[in-house]
Amino acid sequence: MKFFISVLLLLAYLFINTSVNAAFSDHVLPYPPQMPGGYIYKLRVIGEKIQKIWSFGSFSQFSYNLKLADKYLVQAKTLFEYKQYLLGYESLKESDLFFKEAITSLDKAKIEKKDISQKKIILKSASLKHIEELNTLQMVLPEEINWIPEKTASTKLLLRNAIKNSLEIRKLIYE
Amino acid sequence: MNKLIWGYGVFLLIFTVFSYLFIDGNFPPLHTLYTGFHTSHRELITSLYFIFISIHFLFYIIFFRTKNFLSSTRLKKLIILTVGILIFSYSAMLSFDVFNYTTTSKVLFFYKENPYVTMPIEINDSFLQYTRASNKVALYGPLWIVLTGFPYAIAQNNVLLLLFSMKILVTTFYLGTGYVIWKFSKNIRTTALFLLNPLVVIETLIASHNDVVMIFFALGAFYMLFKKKLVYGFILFLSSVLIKYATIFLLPVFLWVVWKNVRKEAVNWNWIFFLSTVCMSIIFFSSPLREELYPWYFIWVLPFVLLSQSKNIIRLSLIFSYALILRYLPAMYTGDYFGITPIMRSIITLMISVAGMVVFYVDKKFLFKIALFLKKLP
Repeated sequence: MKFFISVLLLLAYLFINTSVNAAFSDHVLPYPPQMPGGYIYKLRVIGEKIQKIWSFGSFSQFSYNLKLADKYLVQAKTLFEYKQYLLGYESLKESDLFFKEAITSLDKAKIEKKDISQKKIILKSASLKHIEELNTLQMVLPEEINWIPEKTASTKLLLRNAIKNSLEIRKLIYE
Repeated sequence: MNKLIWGYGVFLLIFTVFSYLFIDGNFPPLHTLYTGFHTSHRELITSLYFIFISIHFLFYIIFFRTKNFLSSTRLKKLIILTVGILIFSYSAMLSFDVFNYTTTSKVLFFYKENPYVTMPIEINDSFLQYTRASNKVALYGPLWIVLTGFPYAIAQNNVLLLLFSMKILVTTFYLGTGYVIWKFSKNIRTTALFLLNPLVVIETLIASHNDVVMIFFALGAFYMLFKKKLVYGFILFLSSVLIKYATIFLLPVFLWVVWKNVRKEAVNWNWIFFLSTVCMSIIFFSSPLREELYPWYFIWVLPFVLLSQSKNIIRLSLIFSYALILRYLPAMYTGDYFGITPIMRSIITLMISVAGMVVFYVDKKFLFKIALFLKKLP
């Protein structure tokens, strides 16, 4: 019996250990950027728009989109930590958009017959890191929240649904 | 006189053949000509390089020392000969920068990627075999990259043709720079001092460095100011900065001339070129802070030195040209860019410069003594 339990425990340990390793990613997320609500943030957004034009070419677009997907994810995470749910929710949506765009850029590069193998590895690594962060958020965020701003009407934010949707977008690259 | 020109032509021909001993084994189009000679016979190749450079400088000195040799026709002949032969030399003999040019051009015009965002290493192409700065985004100004579109349009994906059309592009600007120097100085010797300078010839017509393009636009900008065409002057000055950025150091001098023009005051152009020499010397001598004192960076300074008409500075700069072009010797001998090589490079530059200055000083005294002696003769 003891032997049986030991084997079970060992298997359980191995299983847990493997699943932790599978979620591990080398991808490094950036520092939290300037947060919404100030002139510097507006300047940052203008800078991003200029950068978008500057980053022509499918590979350049890929780097740009992935960089912004990372940035907005960190922004969302930080805002959620400070219970700024509406801004966090919007940032998460932005991150999703850029991540989708990164996939599109890579598809475009493939059509252009560029070797996308290295970029795919980068995207998969980034997606793993994003999933890691989103899973953490899923555990701490409430299912939904009724966000009541000072002067405008309230908004019902389905946070868990949003996270679920973000996770699905990150898993798109495995299809 | 004609023998001298033919001798020079034969020398250039031998030097062109010599350049092919440096072919990179990883450069596919010339793989059949690869001998590996420059790595297997380092002592011999270093000695030959030293001898060839010295002969080149000897020709250069003889052209100027031979009485009544340099005429407009002869200079044209010499330039046609130099360009016509060296256009066939192997560009990456001393530096691999030309491969950076061709690769950056391909990243933009073939792959349609922004070379300031996408590094060549991100694109799996055969150029990775021979491009040295493949892990860096574009190092040069945007106008230079746009200009490389012309060679690319001619060569498309033929790397060898691209290499040679890049050389044609740089050669055009080399001739253009000579023309602007001529327009400014109206002096055959000043023009020839630039166009036939072995450092300029080797770094431009063989190595295809784009520094001459930057200098062409800078001199052109000053020429436009000389002609009181301020708008063209500004456009050309901006073009120069957008080739390789270094001429931004000329901005104070440029603005000063503009100011003088606006106030309709006379401009002392010798003084302007002397100031330009000082400004470009600052950036030239501070280049080791960024990377190192590359020989071809002296092209930033030389045209202004020549136009300043200061004889002593001209002579010193010619000695310095020799000292700089021999900086390749240590790496050629050791096959290594680190270790003792950088120290040896500095020692060579310093020793030759000091020795040259001493000879120059002794020579002056010596010539003075001869003149005195001749005067005493009945």
